[in-house]
Amino acid sequence: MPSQEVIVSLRDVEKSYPLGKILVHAVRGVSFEIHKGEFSALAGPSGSGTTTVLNMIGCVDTPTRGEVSVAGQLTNGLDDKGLTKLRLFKVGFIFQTFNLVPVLTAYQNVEFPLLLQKNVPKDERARRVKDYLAKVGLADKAAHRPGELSGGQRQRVAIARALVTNPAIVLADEPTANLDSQTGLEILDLMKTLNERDGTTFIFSTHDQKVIERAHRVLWLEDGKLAERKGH
Amino acid sequence: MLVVIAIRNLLASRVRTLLVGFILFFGAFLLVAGNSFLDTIDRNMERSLVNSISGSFQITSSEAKDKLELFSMDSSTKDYGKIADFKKVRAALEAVPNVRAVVPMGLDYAVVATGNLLDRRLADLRNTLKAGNTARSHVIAAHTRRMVETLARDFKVGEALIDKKRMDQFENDKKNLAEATTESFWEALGTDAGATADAGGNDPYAALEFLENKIARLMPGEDLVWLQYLGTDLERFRENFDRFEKVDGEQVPAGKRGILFNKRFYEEQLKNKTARRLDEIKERLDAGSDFDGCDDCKEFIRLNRGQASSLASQLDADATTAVVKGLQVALNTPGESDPETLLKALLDMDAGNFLERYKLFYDVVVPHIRLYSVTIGDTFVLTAFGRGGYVRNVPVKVYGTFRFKGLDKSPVAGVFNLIDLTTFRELYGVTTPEKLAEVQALKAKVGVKDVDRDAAEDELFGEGAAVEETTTSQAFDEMAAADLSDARRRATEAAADRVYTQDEIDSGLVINAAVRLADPDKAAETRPALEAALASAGLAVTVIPWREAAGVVGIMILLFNVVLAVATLIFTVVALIIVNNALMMSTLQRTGEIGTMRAIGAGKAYVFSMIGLEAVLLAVVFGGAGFGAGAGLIAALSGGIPAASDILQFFAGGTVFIPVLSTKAIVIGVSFIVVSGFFSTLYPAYVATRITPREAMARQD
Repeated sequence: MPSQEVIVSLRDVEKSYPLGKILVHAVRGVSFEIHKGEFSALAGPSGSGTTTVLNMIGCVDTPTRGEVSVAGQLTNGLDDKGLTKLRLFKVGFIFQTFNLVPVLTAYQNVEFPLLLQKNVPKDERARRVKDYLAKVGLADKAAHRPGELSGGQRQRVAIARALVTNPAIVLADEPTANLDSQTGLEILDLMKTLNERDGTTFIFSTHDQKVIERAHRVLWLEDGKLAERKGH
Repeated sequence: MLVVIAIRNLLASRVRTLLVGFILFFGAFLLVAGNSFLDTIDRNMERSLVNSISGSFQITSSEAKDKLELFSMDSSTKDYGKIADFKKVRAALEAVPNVRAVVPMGLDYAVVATGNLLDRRLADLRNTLKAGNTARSHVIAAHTRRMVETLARDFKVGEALIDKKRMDQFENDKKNLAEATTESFWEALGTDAGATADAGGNDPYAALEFLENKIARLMPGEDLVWLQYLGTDLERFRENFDRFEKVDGEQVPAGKRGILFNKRFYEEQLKNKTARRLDEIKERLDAGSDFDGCDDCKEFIRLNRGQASSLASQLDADATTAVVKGLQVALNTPGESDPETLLKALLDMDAGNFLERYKLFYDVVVPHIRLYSVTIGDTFVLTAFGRGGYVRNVPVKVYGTFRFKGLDKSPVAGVFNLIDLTTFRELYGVTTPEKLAEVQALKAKVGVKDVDRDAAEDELFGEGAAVEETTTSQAFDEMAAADLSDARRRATEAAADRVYTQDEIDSGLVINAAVRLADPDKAAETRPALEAALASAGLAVTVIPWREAAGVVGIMILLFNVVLAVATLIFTVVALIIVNNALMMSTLQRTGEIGTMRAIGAGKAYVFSMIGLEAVLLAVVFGGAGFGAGAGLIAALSGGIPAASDILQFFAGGTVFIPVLSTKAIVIGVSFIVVSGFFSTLYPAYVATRITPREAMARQD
């Protein structure tokens, strides 16, 4: 169950960027908060600004106006190094196309962010990688490369990679879009289980009604504005 | 993890990796092996030149109009100035530490008139007369007479063609020929070998002189040979250039005058052409050529077949008998007695009989012909255009031949003939004491007196003018000229016998000099000391490093280095472009992957290192392998490669080429690897760092 601790906060966030000679207003004054332990969906039609909002929460982008705060830290004014550090320690990413490093095994893919963190001892790394591979049900596929895994298995590896650093929030960008509906639901269930059991905060963008239905809360965006809320 | 990712990425795109790898491998291989080869050639040529002629430095007068070129194509037109007093220069330079010796030199050209067949026969006749060998003089005189009679016949045929303006000269020659074909003339020559005039006034030497001066020049076919010589202190040259080695004959005795022919020059320019062509074919066959596949060999044989008549005409009666007898047996033609036909048959050689006929030619024919137009032991005349514009004729004795060790076939070796410094100075135009004495002797003979210009009028037209009195002498009578040449001959003999002191050799003019160092590797440090020593002695002499003084050869070495530098540059640029391009493609293909890495927390530095490491691995593995292969090739060839052709011997500095892995090659090879590995990675790696984490997300939006 979500706690009162605010993990993500957006206040009057606007994002615009030039597209040729036109200035596109992707996000127009969005404000909301995500609390620890939430399992939220960020939804809306194409071009409504879901990805832009997700990027700002994931410290991949910064707002043109307004404030974005992740794990208690304002991202406005952070340089590339600062944003990278925030992503590395506080955010986990799950992508639509899994985005595993093709030349690394499942084990190495999961281990990768821990290696980037540099401060996790080898034994601890091994323990956590094995633990998370087991949690996603792939203990026996550790030595396999992405090319040897099914789509669902790859996404499980991606989930393990996103969670292995114990991030404050896991962002999933259309995590089921490239999976058949059965596998998609399985992945969604896995994420939900992890959310309920470990209290991991999830926020995912989606167009999928089934996914939306499983969310505690839906943040609905239309034309860059928050239009409707469900749940909290 | 970085290394794992880099290696696996390289393995994942094998074709690209192999393509880039091949370029790096080949580039490193070529640069290491190529540079080692060229450095070895460079060092070999340096050793060849420094130890055979140039020394570490050459010196010339600072007033030289042209820069010294030891191996110039047209040095006869160059003005290298002169060093008036070598002794002072030697003293100044030999006081400098690391200077082992200073060897005086004078580089110039002369013409050798090797004489026609009649000249040579007359020389033989003179020798046999002197030796009192009556029987032999008879035979040679008969042979000579045959030649003169043939000449007289040909002369008559030519009468119709003669230019009327030159009729006087022609009539004179005709008169002389008529006299030389009379019975009485040959009686004097052929019968008396007593070397003095007989009672009837028949003097064989006078007749001989008549033939030499008036008749021999009418015979066509005189060979003029262009000869490049290096006048030097022969003793010091021998001591200081260890590539020098005597081949035939003997060294010119210390302090004496004389010439040593370069063996290569002697063989190529002065040897009988037929014999020389046969030698050339033999050399090619010995070097592994196939007779039937050798177009030059066939051409030589064709040319030689045309020489049968010329060879036959060189044979006197005795020689003809011996040659005919020998060839009849060897060629199994007992019925054939015409020497020309037999010689033609002998010279008609092919792949099957060449070696046998070659031996036959040397065994049967060569002992009866003059194999070299100048024989060792002969004294012959060098004709040079002295610096004053006068023609200088200086007789010089041939003591032997020499070669530069290991450079028998190299063009460097074949360039110079060595003469003593005194002869050089005379040819150059310096009046030596001997020349002065000779001129005085001649003047006394004809009654000429030196007339001071200011007093000329009195001396010539005043009372009791000495000059007028002596003009009544018979000095301009034709036969009296024999007295003059006799005086010259005596002067020549005296000069040839004289032993010159070291002081006489050192004191005087030279054109240039070689500076030999105790440690040639310290040449660069020694040069300023040499220049300082010359300056403090007040000598206007320029010091030239051997490479510059080598002229054409130096340019060739320079050219090699330029070619290699360009090749190095091209290879480096090509490698840079290809490696850069391959990495660029790799980077762009991996935009999503790199974006993901950035999204999950990889910094720019990490991405830069990841791309860079791939290039470094490529460069180290493939470049390193190419380096190793290049070094391995050089090591494998350390046993030496036989240098068969002339040009290869020149590069090899001997008969075997032994390539050595040079420091320069190592530096260039490593630099190539570093440059192509490092610089080619900069841009792709930079581009990779520009990939934002958004790329990972943008793909799905």
